[in-house]
Amino acid sequence: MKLFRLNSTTDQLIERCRDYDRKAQHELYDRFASTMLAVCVRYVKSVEEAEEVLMNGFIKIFNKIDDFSGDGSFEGWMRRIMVNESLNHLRYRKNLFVESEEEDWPEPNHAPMESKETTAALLQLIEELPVGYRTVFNLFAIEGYGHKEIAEMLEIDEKTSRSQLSRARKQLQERVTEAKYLYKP
Amino acid sequence: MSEKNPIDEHFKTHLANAKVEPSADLWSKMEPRLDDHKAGRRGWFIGVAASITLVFAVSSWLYDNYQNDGGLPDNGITIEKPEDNPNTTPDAVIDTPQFEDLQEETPGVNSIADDADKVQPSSSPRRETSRPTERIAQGRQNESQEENRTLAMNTETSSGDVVENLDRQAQDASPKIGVEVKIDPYRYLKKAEPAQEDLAQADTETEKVALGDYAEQQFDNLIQGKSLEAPSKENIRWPEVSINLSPIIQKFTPDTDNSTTEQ
Repeated sequence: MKLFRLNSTTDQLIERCRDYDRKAQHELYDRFASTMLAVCVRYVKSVEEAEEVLMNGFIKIFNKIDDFSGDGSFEGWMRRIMVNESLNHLRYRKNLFVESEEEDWPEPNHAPMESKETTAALLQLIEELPVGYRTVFNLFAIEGYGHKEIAEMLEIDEKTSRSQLSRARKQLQERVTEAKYLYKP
Repeated sequence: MSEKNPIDEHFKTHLANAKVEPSADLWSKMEPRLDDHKAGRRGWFIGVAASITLVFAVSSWLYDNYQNDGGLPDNGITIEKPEDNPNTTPDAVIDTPQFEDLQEETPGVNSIADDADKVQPSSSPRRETSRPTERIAQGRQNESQEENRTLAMNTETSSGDVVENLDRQAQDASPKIGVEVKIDPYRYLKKAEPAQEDLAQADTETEKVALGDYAEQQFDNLIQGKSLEAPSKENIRWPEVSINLSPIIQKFTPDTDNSTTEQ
């Protein structure tokens, strides 16, 4: 299996996954699960829920792998599926956007972190954002969607999307400058 | 999306390619949920394969039945399984093995003319007149096809033609077509048997040599990949049983009457 992994490219894995080759699916999972979980975790607060979303996402990926035309990046295609699954999960849980979420902003519960843990620290900062802020910020800043797309995806106004983003930025800025090592302007 | 916000960039730089390791058992949790789909897809293939096989099996079975039952003129003869007959009448045993030998033990290289020379005077090791009667006397009723075959081979060997015998064994083993050719006459002979031919008929069967040679030639043709020659009644010395045999042989061959180089 390890030998196989060394030799098989993602394209080969995809082709085998089209035939529902279980080993290939496992290999694809092993290759991308951690990256995709990092996506889910940005949207869904708890790791347990994020793992649930991750499983649903992979099942969808395996079932719909024929929909992947091969034109763009496969990882990008997977990422979009994971983002959609995360949004579905959030939608299922509760109403995404409440305009005044200021009071949801929790006190930071973490001690200042070492710089080598920057990624984890930043993830935690995002996790602590209110769900609406977090979602728009993720979609805009990290996934790269525009406000128009975000508004359609979340079925909100573009204006709402913009305001959520600016609030998210503001609060993240505060947190980041609190812990200066996280941010070098 | 236009302006680049430093906060956005900062987070994107660190988080875009971040990795968070999932629980070790997550795949094993997910795998059962994948099984359904896989089984469904595999089941689809199996279903198609099974139905194709079924159609093929049923059609070949029907064709077989047609060959055995429908293809024959009804002479008041009923077709029976080969296994059933030997137990019913002793005569059946006599007739059957002899025909079997004729069809099955084909000399590979011999031309028909050669065979005819050898065989005519009923001195051929494979077709002695006395053999069937001997068998009757011994009352061997349950000889299987295999026994018949080995018997024939033994007689051949005793005639000193060892190399040829080996050659025939090899040919026996290779083509399956030959086996089929032998089968139907075999069944027909059995049908004829209930007609109660006794020793007198056994004598007439010695004249079947010609028919046997014809069968051998056709068998050779099959083995060597040549086309079959149609039998013609003038050139083949038919035994009494031939009333039942001829429609079968004609069934196996095209209508064109190529005379066989017999006798």
